[in-house]
Amino acid sequence: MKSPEAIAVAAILGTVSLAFAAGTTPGKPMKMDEPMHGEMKKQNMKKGDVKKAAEKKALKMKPVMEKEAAGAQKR
Amino acid sequence: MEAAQAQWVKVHPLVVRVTHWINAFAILIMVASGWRIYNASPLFGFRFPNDLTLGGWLAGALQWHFAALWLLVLNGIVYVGYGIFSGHFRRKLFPLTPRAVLSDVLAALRGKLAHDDLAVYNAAQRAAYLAIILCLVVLVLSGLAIWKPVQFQEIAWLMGGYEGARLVHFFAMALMVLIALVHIVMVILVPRTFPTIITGRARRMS
Amino acid sequence: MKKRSMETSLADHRGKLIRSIERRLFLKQGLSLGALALLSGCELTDGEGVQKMLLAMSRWNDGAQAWLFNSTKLAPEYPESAITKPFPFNAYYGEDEVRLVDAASYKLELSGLIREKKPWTLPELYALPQTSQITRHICVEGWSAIGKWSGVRFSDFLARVGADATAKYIGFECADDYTTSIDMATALHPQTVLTFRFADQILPPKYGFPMKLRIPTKLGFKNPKHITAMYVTNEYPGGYWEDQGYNWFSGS
Repeated sequence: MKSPEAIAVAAILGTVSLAFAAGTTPGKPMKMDEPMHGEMKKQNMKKGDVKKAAEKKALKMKPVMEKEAAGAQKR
Repeated sequence: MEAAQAQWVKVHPLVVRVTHWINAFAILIMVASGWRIYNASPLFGFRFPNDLTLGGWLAGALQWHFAALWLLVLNGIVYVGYGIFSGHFRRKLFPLTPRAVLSDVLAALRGKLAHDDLAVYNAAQRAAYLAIILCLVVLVLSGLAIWKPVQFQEIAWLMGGYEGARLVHFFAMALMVLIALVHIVMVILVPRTFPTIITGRARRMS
Repeated sequence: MKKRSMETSLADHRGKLIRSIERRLFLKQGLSLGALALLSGCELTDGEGVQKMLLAMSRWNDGAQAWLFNSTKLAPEYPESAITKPFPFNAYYGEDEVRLVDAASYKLELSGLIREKKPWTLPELYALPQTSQITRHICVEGWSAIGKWSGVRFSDFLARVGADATAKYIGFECADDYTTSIDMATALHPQTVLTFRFADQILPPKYGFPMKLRIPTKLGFKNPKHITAMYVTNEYPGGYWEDQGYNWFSGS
């Protein structure tokens, strides 16, 4: 499945991916306490809310995943 | 109440009165939430004042818009179905000629438009009510095209695609709001028409 | 029909009768104004009952959209000349805060109702058969833009890893902490593509390096970028915006 060409492409991507962003330099650490960008947000939403919600969701879904995977193996 | 005063004429059937108010309520929600949705990505160089909008934020406005949509459409089906099959549209909205509309509109602008029998719509009224029905049909169709530009891509295509459907939706809204405002102004100018859309009857004129 | 001026017809009615009508009118107008004020104010819209009703309607709309969804109906495709340049950047953070994912150490994690849960590296993913599409990306905010994405058809990928196609949902976790989930019918749609390229270039960070699930039958926020993990489940997973009140199905 692995082609040498694809490996080469992937290997250099980490360093050259910066070049694709025109104008601004991506990768600055996200300021979690700042209000969110864009028109989808509610006024008081902070960027950090997304991370908190993701952690909560991962905790909620993990036991479900394990239970479902175990059930699937039994079948 | 003296017997002499108890001369009533039937103006609006019950179905029309009920669907009128449900429609008014649904349109109020659709327009106010729609303006909030518009504000998230304005088509033109202005936004609607947030105080005039409903929903508080984009997701809230979308929830209102897509909930009231069902009220508007189901109510509209009842009204249009009744209008067609009972002969209500044929009796009340027709015949309608451009000449009659023009002359009645001019008369209304001079404040000289008679409205003796509230059960009979003048040509200006007929044109306005018919236009608002057509606006709503276009609004629902363009709304479907914006909501489902893949599943209903045929409707979207008729309107010049997704972006075209957005424009159609906006202008149909603008025209409908304009007609509704004129409608409200007329009711304020001729306030005795107002109770008839609630009670369905009016006192005989002569 | 005898025409009389509005003034005279109004004058006919100026009497003791009109006063009672006016009183009623005032009352009714007052009531409708009150209802309007309640509607646009916070009293009613923040009410728990109303919020519950709106959420119930949103769920109902999920069902209606699943019913409307036609798995063989394709999103319109466009010529290269229709591509929007520059393609807009959109996220809950600024363009300078785009998360950079390290290509060499990247792994796509799989879990849930999937037979082969071995993580995938980028070279492995790039080696899969690729397909391209030029489709319209439609944002829930209203704007739209046409772009070209290339990658592996998602249904092919799901078949390859042995995902349970009878399961209801596929959930996604992203490097920028974003989460979302989609229905299985949409996941198996022929135009749902796990993309690695944008405009024939390796997906730049701002468009979701290393991969974006491109779903032309769903709104933009249902097209996750920077995907790091996915799972197949029968338990409703929701998503960041969906949990905040955006409609879950959000199909086009």
